[in-house]
Amino acid sequence: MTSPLPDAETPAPIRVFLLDDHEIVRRGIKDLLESAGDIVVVGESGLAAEATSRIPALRPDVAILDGRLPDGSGIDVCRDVRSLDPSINVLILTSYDDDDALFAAIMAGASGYILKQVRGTDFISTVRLVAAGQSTLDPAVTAKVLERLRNGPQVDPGIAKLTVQEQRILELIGEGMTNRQIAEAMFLAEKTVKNYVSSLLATLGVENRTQAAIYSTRHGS
Amino acid sequence: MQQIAPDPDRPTGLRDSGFDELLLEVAERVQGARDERARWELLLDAVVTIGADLSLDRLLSRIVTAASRLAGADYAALGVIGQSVEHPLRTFVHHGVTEDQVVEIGELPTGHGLLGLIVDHPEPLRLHDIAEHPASSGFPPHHPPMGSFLGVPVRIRDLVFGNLYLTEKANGEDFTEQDERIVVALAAAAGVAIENARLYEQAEQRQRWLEATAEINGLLVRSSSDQDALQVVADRVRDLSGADLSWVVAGPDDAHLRIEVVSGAEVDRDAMASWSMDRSLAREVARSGKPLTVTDMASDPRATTMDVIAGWPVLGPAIVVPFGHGVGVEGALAIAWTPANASGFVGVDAALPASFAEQAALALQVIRSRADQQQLAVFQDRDRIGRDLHDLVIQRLFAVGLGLESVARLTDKPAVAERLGLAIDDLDATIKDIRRTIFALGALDEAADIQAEVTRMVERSAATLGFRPTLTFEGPIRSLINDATAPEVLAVLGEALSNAARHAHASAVTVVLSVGQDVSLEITDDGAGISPGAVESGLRNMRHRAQKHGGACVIGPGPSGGTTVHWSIPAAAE
Repeated sequence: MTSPLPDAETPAPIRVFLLDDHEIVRRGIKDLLESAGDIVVVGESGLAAEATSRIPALRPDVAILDGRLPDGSGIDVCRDVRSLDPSINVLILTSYDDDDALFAAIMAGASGYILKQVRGTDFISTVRLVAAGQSTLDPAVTAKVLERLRNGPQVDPGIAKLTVQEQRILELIGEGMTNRQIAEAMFLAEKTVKNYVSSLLATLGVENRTQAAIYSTRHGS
Repeated sequence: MQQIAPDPDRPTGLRDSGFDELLLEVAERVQGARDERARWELLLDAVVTIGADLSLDRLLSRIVTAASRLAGADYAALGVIGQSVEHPLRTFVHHGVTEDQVVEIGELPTGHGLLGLIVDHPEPLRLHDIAEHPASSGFPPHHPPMGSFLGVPVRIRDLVFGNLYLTEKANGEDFTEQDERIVVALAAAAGVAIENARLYEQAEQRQRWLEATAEINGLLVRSSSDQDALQVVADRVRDLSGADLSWVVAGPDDAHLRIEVVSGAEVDRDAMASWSMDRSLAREVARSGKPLTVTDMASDPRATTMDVIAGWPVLGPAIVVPFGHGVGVEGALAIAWTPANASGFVGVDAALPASFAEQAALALQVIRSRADQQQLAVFQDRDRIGRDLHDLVIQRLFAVGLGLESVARLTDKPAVAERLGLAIDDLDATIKDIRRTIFALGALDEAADIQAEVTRMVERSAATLGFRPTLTFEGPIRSLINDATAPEVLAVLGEALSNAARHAHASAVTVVLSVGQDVSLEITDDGAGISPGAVESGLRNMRHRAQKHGGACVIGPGPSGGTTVHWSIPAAAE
């Protein structure tokens, strides 16, 4: 492993924050990223609350946040952090499949996602890209996901009834707006927006599949 | 009654003194008194017998026979008054006219003409000749000739239950005042007996309904599906009420009702689903929550037009009761009689089917919520398994994989790096498998998304292939395959899998569905390879499906023998 020399000609290394509740996962990712030479992990955490308070202070170039945490979700951490400091770029780390990862990244307002698989995702180049302010999300694909969400999951139409307000917020999330920006655009309190986002996540999210199943059982078929 | 006429051949010694006449009169009076006495005895007998009969049908025919004997009439009948204006008499029990004659005449009287007059004016009426009365509407063809007439209403308390009709007094005579008095007396006794019998029948019927209501729980528990259970309810209620038809209507609210089951008529389930219940008695009942009774469905403006419902008989009276049998399930249970069987309707108190329906609905709810709970437990369990796989297994495999990767970077021995690489690939494949399992655990069996459908199709093909194909998804499948392209993907997959099963004699099949710039489906088998022309039509079909969306389909030899089908279309295709 080589460390970048503090040389005037070498650009400043990319500063990364890691949030994942599995220590061995954090260590693996840290090893992998730091092996690139131009990336340093400046902080790590296993809890959402801790990450939410530390990230704005550390101001990393890229925060890699696990979608699912014991005390919350990476999506909420991302939205909270970016509301305070939109210059922080985020990658959502997930072990669900691409569709769910895409959903999580869009809802979080992240610049992209990384699936938890060793090959197939080029961690290092993704981090470099995002650090440079680019998004790995294809706007066309994002549009399709939003469209699908608006039309509701096929599981049960009864679940997907979004209110006009929720639809509008979903649209602004799709445009990559932070909670604060949405609040300003819609003349709402930031806290209200946050509540809307939580309810959208609850309605549309991955964790909702079982509830959807239960709902459809309850209501007969 | 036997009339005693003076005998002209008697000795006439005392004629002048009028003794003969006196004697004759005495004899006549004695005879008359004896005769009268015999008739009153007959009446008493009749009262005792009819009082002992508790079956309404038998009782009515006994009354008719007794009346005919008491009044010396050749023909007697009892018309029971119904509610219909068109047919004032709903039942006509008769005596004297033979079955063959009845068949020849055709319809039984329904209460028009003279018979209707007594319905409208319930007072005794005696006539020398029916035909002379202005109200008479004449007899139908084949009807036996009838002259003298006596009609008497039968009352139950203050209500007129029906009328006794007597015609053709013996020996061509007219009915006498005596006859009238005796028939009026019989009618009074008949009224009491009829009410008694009716009360008894009602009590029996109530008993039957109560028993059925108590039993329905047990019956429904044994049904294997909601549909079966509803059918049991419909069958049972039809049986109890003696109705010709019964049916259950249900829906999430009164605006979205449809007929679920029918008892008593053959129905086409598909056609049934399309019948609109927008204008129906059932909707009325589901909305109001109150039972509804109609005397003639065919003419009731609130009822569904019956000719819409093919295969159903024309229906007369009906009872519709609320039958909301679940959370968010509104509905109604209906029973109906054909006009020919309308008498059954009169005997049914709407409160009985209503409480039966209530009990059945309750039973259904309990059964369903129990089934829900069981399913819920399964879902929760699946959810927990999925979460464990996700939180524990995948994280560790991923971490181990990352660890191996960093070790691989440290080594400078190519052979070691290669072995490590293979191990990492295996780990990644396992992670993908587990991810797919998690998805399958969370997905509903009937979920309609493309990922679930492809998974199901591949699983099903295992039966014909004899082994389970390997299935891999890459990229956001559900987001990028839309409703227009999903059927194509499924059709091509189905075709390719069945080719592999029928022609290739393969021992392994790999399916990869990936999305990115393109939606691409690759099916590889290790079988005999394509024999030219053998499955050309199927292959042409797959090509056509690709070209339609601006894509391509390439079929060629696989990497290790066998066949590879590579089918792809641009993801942007809408």
